[in-house]
Amino acid sequence: MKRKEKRLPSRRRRTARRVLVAAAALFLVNRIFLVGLLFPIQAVRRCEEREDTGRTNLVCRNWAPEIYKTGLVYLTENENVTMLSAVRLSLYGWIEVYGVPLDCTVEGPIHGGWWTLYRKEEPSQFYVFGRIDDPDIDRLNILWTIEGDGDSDMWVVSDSGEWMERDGRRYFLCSFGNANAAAYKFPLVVGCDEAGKEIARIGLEHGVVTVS
Amino acid sequence: MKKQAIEHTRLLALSLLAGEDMYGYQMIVELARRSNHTFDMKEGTLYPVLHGLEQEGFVEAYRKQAPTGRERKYYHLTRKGEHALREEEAAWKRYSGAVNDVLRGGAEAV
Amino acid sequence: MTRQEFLDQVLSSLGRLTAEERENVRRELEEHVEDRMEALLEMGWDEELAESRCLEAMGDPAEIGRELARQYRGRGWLWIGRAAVLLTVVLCVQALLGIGVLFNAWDGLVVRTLRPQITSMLDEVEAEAQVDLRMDIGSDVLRVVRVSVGEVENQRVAEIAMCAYDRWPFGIVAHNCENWITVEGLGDDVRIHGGPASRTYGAECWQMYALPAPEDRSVVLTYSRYGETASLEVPLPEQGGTV
Repeated sequence: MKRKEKRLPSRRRRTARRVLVAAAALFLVNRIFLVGLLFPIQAVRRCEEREDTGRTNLVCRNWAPEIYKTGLVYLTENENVTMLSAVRLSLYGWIEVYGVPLDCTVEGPIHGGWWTLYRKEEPSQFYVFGRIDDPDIDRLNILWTIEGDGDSDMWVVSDSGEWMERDGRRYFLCSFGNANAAAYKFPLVVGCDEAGKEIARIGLEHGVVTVS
Repeated sequence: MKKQAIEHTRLLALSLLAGEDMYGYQMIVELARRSNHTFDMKEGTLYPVLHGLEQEGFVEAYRKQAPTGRERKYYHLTRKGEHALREEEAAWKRYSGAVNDVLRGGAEAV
Repeated sequence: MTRQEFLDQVLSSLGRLTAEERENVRRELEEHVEDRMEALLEMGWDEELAESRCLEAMGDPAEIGRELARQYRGRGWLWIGRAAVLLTVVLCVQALLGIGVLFNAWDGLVVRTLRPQITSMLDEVEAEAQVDLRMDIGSDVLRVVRVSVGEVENQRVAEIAMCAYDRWPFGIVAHNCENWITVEGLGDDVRIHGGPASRTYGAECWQMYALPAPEDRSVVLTYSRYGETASLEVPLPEQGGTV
């Protein structure tokens, strides 16, 4: 007598099989197609690969709806690098918008960089970020010269209360909107101590304008 | 009373499957035979029990050709089900032992 | 009550089950009735009487339906499974949309094992050698594939064709990594026309140039980024052919 056996799965087994398939698909698509990232931090890892910074740790993460509706701006760091990156959610999952690495291996009191994003001809946020190595510095004055109808100066003050700490180092991140980046020239960061005495002054050279 | 009926139906179903894989109708017939027709439950009520055991992972189901020539849905006791059977057996023994003790105690008192 | 009515009444309580599960239940109960019927018919029962006796023996269809429905409730297995299926479908669509990424992986593979074609910008070639020198730069690998000595605009230059790929086969190579590589020959390296370079997420290929002195036998490439440095000595080919 021919025995015909056909297995009938229960809900539990069917679900287990489906979850396994989904997990395998997730792994394969993430690793080989490099898309379908479920978490934004994975897109930051892609920025790390593009800029070859190595593994970085999170300092802060902000929601930035002014650049993209699902945009997130990350400040990450490791011993050698401070990186500002932006990611957003797209049809492909989380993808990177841009990453600006700052080489902090050179000795110095302050390391700083800036980044701005243009979307559809409209300027959006302007970011200034960096690392403060001198323990005496208590406040940063960031200065631009705005070219336009008569040059004007613009000051932004960043207090140590706003700064973040990670791995024993201090980091800062400032942002403001309505930035016409092309007109902002010669950014300068001046570090002052509690009394207001100037300790260090650097020009922000590492800057990137991203046009989307 | 009804809940208890279902619960010891689970024990009966599990122990029937401990011997060999069976399908629903076969289990009803076997149950009647072994208990000498003491258990005369409504036949349809076995199926919720079997499906419940299946969903919980105590039994597995597959379709196979029965000795009658037709294809039937067979149930198989899993290892998890074997553990459950032992536990329910132990619980039943405790329960029936307690009932016996009470009855005996009552008879002695008389 | 007929068999069909009985089964329908049981199934009416099973709204929460999938169509497949409902069909399985119907089939199983029908088969049970079939078996019981056969037994009664063998004993000589009238068909109609047998059927009503069977259905009576089965019990209250509403109660059976309710009890069955209870066994399938709870814990949300069904929804987890459905969510998993949805995720799988979304991933497949994304993979199809991003199928171009496989070209990057292909680039990475070619650059890693085969010999990538990098055009030469030299007007006149004095000597050329195919090489295979590799060096770790950060989390990527630099591979020098060809060294040529020749002339461009009446200057004697050494052209080094190289590429870079990520250590992991499907990984992303660093962007514009040539910016962190310098040629130690005579002072700064020389960029001549920039030269065509191919850059994808999987591999980058480009040429670099140096002005070697006539007696130099080799040129040193140095990588320096984020405080990490590495050097590679590239031998120059002898005149008239390969090294």
